[in-house]
Amino acid sequence: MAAAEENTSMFLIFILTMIALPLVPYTIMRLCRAASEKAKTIHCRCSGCHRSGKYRKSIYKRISNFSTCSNLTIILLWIVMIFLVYYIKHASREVQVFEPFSILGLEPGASESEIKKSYRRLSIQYHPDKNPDPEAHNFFVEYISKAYQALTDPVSRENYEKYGHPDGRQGLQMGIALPKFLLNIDGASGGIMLLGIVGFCILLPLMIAVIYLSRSSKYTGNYVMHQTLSTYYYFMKPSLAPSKVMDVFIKAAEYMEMPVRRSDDEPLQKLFVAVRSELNLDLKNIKTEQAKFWKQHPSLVKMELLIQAHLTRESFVLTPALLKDYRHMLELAPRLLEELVKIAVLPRNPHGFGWLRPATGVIELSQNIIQAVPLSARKASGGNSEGIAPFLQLPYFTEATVKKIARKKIRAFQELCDMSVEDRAALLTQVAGLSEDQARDVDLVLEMIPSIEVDIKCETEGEEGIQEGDVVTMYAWVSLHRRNGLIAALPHCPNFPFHKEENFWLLLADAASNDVWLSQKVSFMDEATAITAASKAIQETQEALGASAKEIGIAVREAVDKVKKGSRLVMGKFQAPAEGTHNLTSFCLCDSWIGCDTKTSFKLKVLKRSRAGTRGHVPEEGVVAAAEDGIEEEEEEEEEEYDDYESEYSDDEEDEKNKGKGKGKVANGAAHQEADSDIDSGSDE
Amino acid sequence: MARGSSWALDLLRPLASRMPSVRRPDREVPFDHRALYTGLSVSVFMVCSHLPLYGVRYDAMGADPLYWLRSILSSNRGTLMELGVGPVVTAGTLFQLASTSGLLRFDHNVREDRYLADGARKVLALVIALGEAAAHVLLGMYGPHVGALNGVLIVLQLVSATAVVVYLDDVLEKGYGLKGSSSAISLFSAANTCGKVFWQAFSPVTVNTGRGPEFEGVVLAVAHRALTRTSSARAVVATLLRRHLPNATNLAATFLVLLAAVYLEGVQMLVPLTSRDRRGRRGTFPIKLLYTSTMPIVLYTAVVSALYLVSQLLHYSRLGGTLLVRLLGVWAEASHAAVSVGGLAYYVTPPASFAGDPVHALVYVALMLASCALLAQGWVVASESSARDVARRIADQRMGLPGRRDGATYAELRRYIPMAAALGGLCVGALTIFADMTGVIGTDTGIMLAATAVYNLVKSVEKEDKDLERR
Repeated sequence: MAAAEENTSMFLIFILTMIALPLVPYTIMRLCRAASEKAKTIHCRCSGCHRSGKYRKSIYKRISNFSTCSNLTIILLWIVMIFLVYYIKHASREVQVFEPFSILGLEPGASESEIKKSYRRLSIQYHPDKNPDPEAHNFFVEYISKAYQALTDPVSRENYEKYGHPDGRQGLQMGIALPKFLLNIDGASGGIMLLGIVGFCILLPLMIAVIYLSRSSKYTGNYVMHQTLSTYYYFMKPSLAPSKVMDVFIKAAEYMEMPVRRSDDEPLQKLFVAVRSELNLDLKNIKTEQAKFWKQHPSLVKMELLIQAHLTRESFVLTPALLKDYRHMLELAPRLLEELVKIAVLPRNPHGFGWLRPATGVIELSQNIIQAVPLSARKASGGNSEGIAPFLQLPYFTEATVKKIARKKIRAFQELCDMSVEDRAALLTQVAGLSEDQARDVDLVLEMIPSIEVDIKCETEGEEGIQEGDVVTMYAWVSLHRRNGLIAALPHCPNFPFHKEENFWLLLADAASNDVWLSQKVSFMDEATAITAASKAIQETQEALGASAKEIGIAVREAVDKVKKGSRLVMGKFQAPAEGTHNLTSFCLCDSWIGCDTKTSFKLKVLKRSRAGTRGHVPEEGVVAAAEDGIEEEEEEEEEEYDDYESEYSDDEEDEKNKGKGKGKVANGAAHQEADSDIDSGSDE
Repeated sequence: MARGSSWALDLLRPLASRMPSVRRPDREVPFDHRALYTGLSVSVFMVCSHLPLYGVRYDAMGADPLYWLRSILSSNRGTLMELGVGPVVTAGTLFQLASTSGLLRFDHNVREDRYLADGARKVLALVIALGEAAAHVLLGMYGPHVGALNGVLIVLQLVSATAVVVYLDDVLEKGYGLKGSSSAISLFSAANTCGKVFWQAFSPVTVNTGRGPEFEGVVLAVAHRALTRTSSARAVVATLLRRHLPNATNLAATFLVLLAAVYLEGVQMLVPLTSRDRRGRRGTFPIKLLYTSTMPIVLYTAVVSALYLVSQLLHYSRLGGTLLVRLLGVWAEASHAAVSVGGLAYYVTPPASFAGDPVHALVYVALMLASCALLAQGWVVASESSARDVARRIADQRMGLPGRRDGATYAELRRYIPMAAALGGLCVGALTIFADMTGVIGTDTGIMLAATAVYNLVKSVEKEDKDLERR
């Protein structure tokens, strides 16, 4: 009976430890995260964003936030643990273990004389001659004299020290810390146990894995369907007009999959009337154009109308069913747009250049969707080259407001941003007719708008000048500045109902020939990652150049400082084209703000090859990339080519990856900066 | 492919061309899928290495003569994984040897040839498994009287378990596994060792040696003592240092060895390279301190276990008392396994303590270090990664030291590679000795293998993570 009890308590200890092991670290992690989260608010604090409810933390919400399933589970488990500890401490009976030293009141390893002394002292106390109490007699015979014997007899003392028992090695009793009822199983219950174990421990995880695999095989690593990517790839054209980008965008398989209900027809008709002016229909033969519009695939019609409803901020007219689709559409949009940009800048022609025009078009569409500003607002009007779109992203700004302030010669968005706070407040309250609170909100948003600077260098690493066919490294520091001093921040987008982070696209392009030479997404959200990435890239570069450890240390420290001040390092490699001077532009486009994109133009001078075709042939781009891999990972066995590698899309992906791998090696900027590549950076804006 | 010359491949052709094989994925498998496939394969392997064989009487099994080999072959005695990855490794090595020596000739660029080679390797692995399993049964690994039916059943089980391993290996190799786990063999052996360490830390098995039940797992035992005994501190310390069961020092030593191995794995020197063809293209060739990785200790263990096997066979054979046999090793029966008490076998066995027999300890250390360094040197040549081979490969890729002639690469590499190999071998040897002395959980070799495998895996996951972010 005692053994069974002991077994139960051991089982409880087992359970307790198994609970405690994951629970304690997890709780600590949660607490740390909770503490760090409270530190900073990085979202826009204007009342529009506040009302959108994305960041709201009312008391009710906080409670509901706190009482999520995982938090409740944690608390429950802690309670279970405390209860278990309490139970084990109090309910388990002490097993009597023979420990002669403690019986004699000595430290383990006491000397012979000490043992004798102690024995004599105890005998005086407990010896039956001295102490008439029968319990004392018992204690003396059972424990004291036995302990004395065990310790004084050399054989039994050695046994005790070796095996923990004076009689020598005790027989081993093995057991498993499981409750009794689980251990004596036989017949039917044993079979059920076996089935249960096989089912829960082997088959269930397998089933889950298989279901997961079959479900997610449709998606790429970025949670976008393969089908979508191939559609985008197919429809992407080198000179896709910004107005046509939307037609490509809505062809995503995710959107085509959304249900088309019969009951949606009527609301969609209504919506069509509301957004008709935005649909690029030819006014001359409006009838046929309309008919053509409705003849498209019903999903496409629906998506286009929903997006237009979003852009014109008419979403309040939607029926509940459509509203659900609308939200789903917006939730997927940033992801899909990002993929669309990537497809646009995929290396296409033999030089490995992507297309500029569709890329900028997609990014503009992304800006419009995030800010819910109609595409038509981008059209230049009345001495304003960029249209009224940037103004419309500000709270309380309508076309009328823009017209009003235009009368005061404030036409470009930049002019509004550059005004002093007082002037702007005066302008907004007196001319535009906003209240003081509203003007303050506008100020808050304007403070949030980032301004970007790009410092770009191109060079052939460790060589003088750039020659035809060189592997040129681009080395760009993108610095972000906001008036309120934040670096990582969420954009102001009250009409976009989901969490959205700012992303920037750095495109190195030849605007005249529509070529994107290099492209890279830049994010300012995560400083720690950026620091490790930048320092690693710098380190690898320096190592490849054979710099000493001290030089590497200095360069890395500089880079880390720069990242901390709000810059991000972007590096990339490309192959120098034919000789001549190339007019390049580096675009830094934001995917969520309108009107904060920067362009920097510079000239890239490519010289003629000095040693004509050094030693024979010039390998193709693909071969180069493969060879480079080989050098870095010499350990690997020969790389077999993929057999059934026919999908052209994945081919391109591979190229992109190789390119990505190639980056990370850049010459020490300071030393070779002056070389032949004339870089006159100058801002267009 | 020159058809006439490879009679060996032709011999295997009828079977090899019919072996099913895993199809390569059309496009790159996303990271989470690869992680899942890797996890599934490892768990299948783990389940197999805990399923007992049917038809074996466990009380009839004597001492384990293959104990030392188990950790490198990740085999578990008396389970389906009795043979572990042994047949697969052997088949791979044989194939490699045959193709480099020209016995088998096939063209890697011809798809049909590649399929055939793939199938042939599988057939070879299964044949070896059949042979090994039969040998196990016939030589009495499962007791002298297994019976004909049981014997056949055991052989069938072992061969089918090997087939499972072959296909798990195929899955991981064909691009469904994580990048760092390109060889399933190291992954499985790492999983095996890690499983052992985990078990020793958290085993719920209780043992009663007359002082009340105690947990086998260290962490559980400590929790048990801390929660139930009244005089906590001393009892906890006593539990931490207990001798009869795995104790905390073993666990700590295990982690120490793991950390040290991972650290050593990361020490490297980079040789900067530039392209000869295209200006601006640069790369580095890393010369790792553990240039041959854990290979020396694997080879050493293989040699030692072969020595044990031969010596034991001879000792218990009719030649028992002769001088030569005694020089090889003298064996005595201990409670669970035969123990060497003299001869060469005694001196390559790790000593229980340094003080017990200093000569034994010194000879052991010297033998270990010297053979590790030598084996590392040898492996550099055998695996075609010597300075000359590397220099040739670099030159083939039209790379070279910046500002130097092609010949300089070889000179530069020759300065470092032999040294790195020898030094790396010494380091691995020293670490293994440390592992032996402190009594790490599992075997020393197993821990070293696990450390490097896990390190490579983590490294590749990190790299993929970075690539994923960039996309």
